[in-house]
Amino acid sequence: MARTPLAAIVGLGFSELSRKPIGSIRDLAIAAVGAAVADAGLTSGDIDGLLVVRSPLAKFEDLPLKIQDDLDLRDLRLLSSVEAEGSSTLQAIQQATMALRHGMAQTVVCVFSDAPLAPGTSGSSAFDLVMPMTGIDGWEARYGMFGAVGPYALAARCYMARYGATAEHFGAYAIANRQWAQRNPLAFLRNPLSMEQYLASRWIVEPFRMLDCAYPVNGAIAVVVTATERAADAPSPPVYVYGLGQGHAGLPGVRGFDRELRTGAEIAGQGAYRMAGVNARDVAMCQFYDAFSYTGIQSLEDYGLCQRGEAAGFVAAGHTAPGGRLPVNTGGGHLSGYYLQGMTPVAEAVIQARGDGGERQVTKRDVILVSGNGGRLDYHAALIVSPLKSLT
Amino acid sequence: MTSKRHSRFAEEFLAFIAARELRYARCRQTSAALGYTARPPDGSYEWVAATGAATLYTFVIYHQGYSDYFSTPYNVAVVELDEGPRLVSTVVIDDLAKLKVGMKLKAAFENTGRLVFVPV
Repeated sequence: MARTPLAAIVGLGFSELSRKPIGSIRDLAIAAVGAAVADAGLTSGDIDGLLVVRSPLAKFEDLPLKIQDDLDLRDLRLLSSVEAEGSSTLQAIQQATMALRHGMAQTVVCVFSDAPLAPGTSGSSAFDLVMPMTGIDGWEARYGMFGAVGPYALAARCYMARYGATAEHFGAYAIANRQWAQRNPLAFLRNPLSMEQYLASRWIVEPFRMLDCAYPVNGAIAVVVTATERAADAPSPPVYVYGLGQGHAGLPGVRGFDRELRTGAEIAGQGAYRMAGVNARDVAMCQFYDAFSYTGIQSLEDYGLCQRGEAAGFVAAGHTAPGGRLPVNTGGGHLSGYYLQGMTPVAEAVIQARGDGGERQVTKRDVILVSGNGGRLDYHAALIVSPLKSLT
Repeated sequence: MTSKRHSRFAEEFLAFIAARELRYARCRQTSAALGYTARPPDGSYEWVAATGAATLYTFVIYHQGYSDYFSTPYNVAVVELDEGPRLVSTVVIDDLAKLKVGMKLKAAFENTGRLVFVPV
């Protein structure tokens, strides 16, 4: 049965992106929303919904609902701050889609903005939170488990032990990202990367090297989502939303629940595929939330694109790199592109679906999987998007 | 009456740790071991002494320093007690290269009272 779209993304806007301080989170968000609304061929009077997303490390007042007035938005029918850690941006687009479906609003802007890098801050120190995993508040700090990198590295080590994956497999993932980034003018790390260079990169939290970790930037990205029937007037080709899914598996913390290897992303994927009337075999390209190299490998398995234990080999064989049969993170992802949490994969999905990918444009783009991931592989959201007006 | 379902479970566990006892919670009805992330209703569980025998479920080595209290390199581990629950800890070992997922461990308390694990 042919599926009709649930909604359409008709605007994409960026603030400046930089490693240097370029403004507050609020100011960057204003810039991105303005750019997205203009990209959609609209004005602020056309917008009747606004969903704001901040980093889990930012404060509410960094991006308050009062940004509505900064943007001269009046008589909104949908306004909220969406908080689900790294899955927030995808969840915001899902909420916008549902509101549009039910006629609660007609044109909604979703914006993510972050400014983690101040003078003298490193990527590590900007993200040095303590992630609870044991369930006892304060427990992890006794052992120096700081940052998101440690918990993700723990998961990566599980995968290595279970399936025999090696540093070279993670290296292959980072190199594939870099090869895509070299073709993306928006990407920050565009120098060629060899396996020798990857292996020489310094340890952060072993088994992760610096090049296994996201490349943080200051900046904001916004998208405009509108009801399908309004999308025809947009200046750029609409990017249709077909599938929404979430998965939050919970962490029982006992033998038998290996959340390092099998996460709620599996449930998110199944939900998104079912709604879109597709399955994993139909996915033409993936835009994953891959803040660490292992996340991309884990996503390939949880989203049903590789068998358990086989994603590392799949990546090492070049299947996700330029020219491969399943392009993954075609803008360079979080590792080589830029880390703006869920908006990194969303923006690249929109660019690819529109056919605006230039040197990195992928030909087959009928079914695009986009993912968001928060906590330590705890909170997952997925979208299926397509440039096609119906999916069969 | 105050509700303390989240905090009470952790406070009970930490009180045992302060007394240098490693315990885990067991469901009174099913005898199933509960993870430390569980927050069972009052009266539905009991704290049982763990044998201290455990397996190294996964581990990492911090090379990047985040705090002056920890000199790099140091390891952070997730250990699985033989009874089933998992918790973050560290393995006291002379050579970090000897750490291996699946190795057998035993619980110990440092002079400071911190729970650690040592290879068997």
